[in-house]
Amino acid sequence: MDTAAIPHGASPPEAKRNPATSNPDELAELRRLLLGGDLETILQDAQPALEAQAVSEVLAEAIAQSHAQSQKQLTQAAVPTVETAIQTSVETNINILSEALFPIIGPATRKSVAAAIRNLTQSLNQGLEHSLSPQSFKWRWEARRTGRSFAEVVLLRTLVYQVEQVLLIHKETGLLLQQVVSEQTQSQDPDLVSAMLTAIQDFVQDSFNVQSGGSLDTLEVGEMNIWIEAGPQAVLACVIRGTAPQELRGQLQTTLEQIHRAYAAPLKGFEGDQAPFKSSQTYLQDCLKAQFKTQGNGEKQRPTKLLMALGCLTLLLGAWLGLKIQTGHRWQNYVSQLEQEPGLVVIQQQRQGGKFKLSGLQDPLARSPEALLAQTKLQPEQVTMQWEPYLSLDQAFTLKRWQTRLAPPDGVTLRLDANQVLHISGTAPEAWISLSQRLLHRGEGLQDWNTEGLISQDRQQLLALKDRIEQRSILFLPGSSKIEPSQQGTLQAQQQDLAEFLQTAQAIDLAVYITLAGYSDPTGNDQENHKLSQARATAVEQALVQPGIPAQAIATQARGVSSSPTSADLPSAARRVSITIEAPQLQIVPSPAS
Amino acid sequence: MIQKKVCMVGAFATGKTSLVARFVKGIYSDKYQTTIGVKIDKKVVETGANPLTMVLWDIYGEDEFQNIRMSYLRGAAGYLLVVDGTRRETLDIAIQLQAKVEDHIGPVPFIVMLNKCDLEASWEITPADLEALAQRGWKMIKSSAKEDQGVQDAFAHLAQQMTGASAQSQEAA
Ligand SMILES: Nc1nc2c(ncn2[C@@H]2O[C@H](COP(=O)(O)OP(=O)(O)OP(=O)(O)O)[C@@H](O)[C@H]2O)c(=O)[nH]1
Ligand SMILES: [Mg+2]
Repeated sequence: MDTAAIPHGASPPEAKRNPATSNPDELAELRRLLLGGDLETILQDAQPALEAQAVSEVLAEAIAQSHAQSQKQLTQAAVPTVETAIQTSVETNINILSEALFPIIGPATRKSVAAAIRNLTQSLNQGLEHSLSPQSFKWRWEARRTGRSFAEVVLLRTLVYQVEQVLLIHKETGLLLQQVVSEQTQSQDPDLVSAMLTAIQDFVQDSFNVQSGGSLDTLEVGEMNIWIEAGPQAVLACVIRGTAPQELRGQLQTTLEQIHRAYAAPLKGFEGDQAPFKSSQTYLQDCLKAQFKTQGNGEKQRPTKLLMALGCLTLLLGAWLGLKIQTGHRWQNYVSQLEQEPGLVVIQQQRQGGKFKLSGLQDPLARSPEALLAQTKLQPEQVTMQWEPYLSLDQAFTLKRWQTRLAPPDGVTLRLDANQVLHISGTAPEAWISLSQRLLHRGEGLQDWNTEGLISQDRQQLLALKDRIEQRSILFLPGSSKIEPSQQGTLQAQQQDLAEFLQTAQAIDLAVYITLAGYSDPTGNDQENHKLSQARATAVEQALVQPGIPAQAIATQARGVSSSPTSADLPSAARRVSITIEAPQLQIVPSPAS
Repeated sequence: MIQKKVCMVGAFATGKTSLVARFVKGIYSDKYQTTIGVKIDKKVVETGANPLTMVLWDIYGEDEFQNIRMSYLRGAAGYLLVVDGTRRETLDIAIQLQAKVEDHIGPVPFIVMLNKCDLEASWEITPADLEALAQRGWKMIKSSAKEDQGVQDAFAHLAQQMTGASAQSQEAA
């Protein structure tokens, strides 16, 4: 109880303790009665030193009692003194007070900062609420499942990190006090790192004129982060791979405060000896551990609902992708069809979003790309095409072009050989042949042409007519030059054929010489016979001439006695007039016009 | 293990970096690459019974554009004041720097390195200058990073002064 704490011989406080039973006036009276005036004198004369000693003996108890009875006077009386004391302490050496306060200020600040962060998380949450991505879908699901806030889940999922090295550095000298390294990491020489970090701190502080207390607290090098937490005597530096959560900062602060408390004396008296700080390893280890907590939490349960939802999504995605691939496939097919099509050259094709674009060259004779497109399952509005005209030198194409250009009549075939020589064969009217000879020229895929197999229909006909006319003879009775009625049929036939011959020959500009040769049989004298043969030729000439067979086209000849009758068996055959036709340029194949 | 922070201080191009390279790695190059900021190195030396780790802060040299940042010297247990014997002005700078450093971190041990003694024939620093320094009670060692003279010596002396023990340099393996 209270009495146990009372220092020996402290009676005045005892009296005060029981004010109900003892009255101060009564007590003085009692004392005077018991001891008389002598002792009072002695007490009054007692040395001040003795009083000080006595007061010091009871001071602590007195203050404690004053406090216990919640008497404000003492506190109020002490305020000015304490205030002055603090002021003096700050003026003399600010470090003493700041070092004393350091372990207190840390936790206090953290409390208020934690509240601030909570608010921030909330607003972050709202911001993220609006973002949408496959990942956010997954996280949103997880948040609902676990009852966490969405922001919390996002932070948790995005933070993957490892603290690889923790250095405890003496602030003033930059010398390393202690370090821990996580397993499987290769660390730099910590002595050099800690000195360098200190140099960087100095540099930053000097260069940017930071107010005292402010300091560099994060360094970023690629995916490595160095977090620096500075206390009054020591600095904690963490080498972190990846993104660490803010809790780690709290861990660093706590650890640093603990170290300041536990190693206050060795830190103050540090002369370069690391030995006293060996045991600080256990504190530093706490900072290494911080990572496992965060990483360990991940992927505990595989939620079937989430998987199902993802499955659906995958299915939709698959269908969409499939469609996209199929359309792409169709497009590729179409393009390669165009590439194989003679007379079409694809120069550029591209796919932009769901649209296709194509440009190229088109021979006027080529099949229409639009028509080819219509045969595919592609939507015409998906496709934009631009074609420039050109002449294809493709063999099939050259042939086709000449086919169109020459327009050969039935019975004529065109063939292009590997040497790009056009072979024209068959039968054609002379007019077409001479026209085609004017049209044909080298170039545009044509090296030469060959018309050896081409026969002129007109000349063919002329030769046939000539043959027929020359086969026939008009016969006479002995000694007569009169055309007998029996010969009228032959005469008409000759007349008809001859007229046709002349007409055709004229059409193709052919020079023709017609000779009527008169003959007689051997009976009688030669002079008579010669006369008779002339009379017979003249008679036929007169009978033949008519419109279409001009007299000047015909010559007569008296051949006298026939030496070689056409039909030797019949004597009448010797008395005849036959027709011969001479046409020096009548050949079946016209010579190439070159 | 005892550690001490040691700074290399002096005018530019006096050979601070070269001396550290010679001392720590045993190498030397004629190429001059001015130091920017601070370069840190370390070397373990044997001082009496205990090994001592010297953490060397090779600070950029003072020139007309840049004064040495005194904050780099905070906590140094000793320093080497490097002078280029072939350039008289580097001695004046060294004297000014010494005063500044002492003002800033208090009286800690230091040694003046009179560097480039391989070129002693063309030194601008005279015996009279050296006499004046000796008058101040400064410890001086002539050195050459190029020919490895006095380098081990200077660091060993400084180590000894910092620990109060007799020091001998531990050669790198
Ligand atoms: N001859 C000779 N040259 C030296 C010696 N030491 C250094 N040098 C040369 O002097 C030049 C400057 O040397 P550094 O070591 O870079 O000088 P520093 O003092 O570090 O220069 P800053 O970093 O710019 O202040 C270089 O070209 C060195 O090769 C020496 O002992 N002898
Ligand atoms: Mg240098």
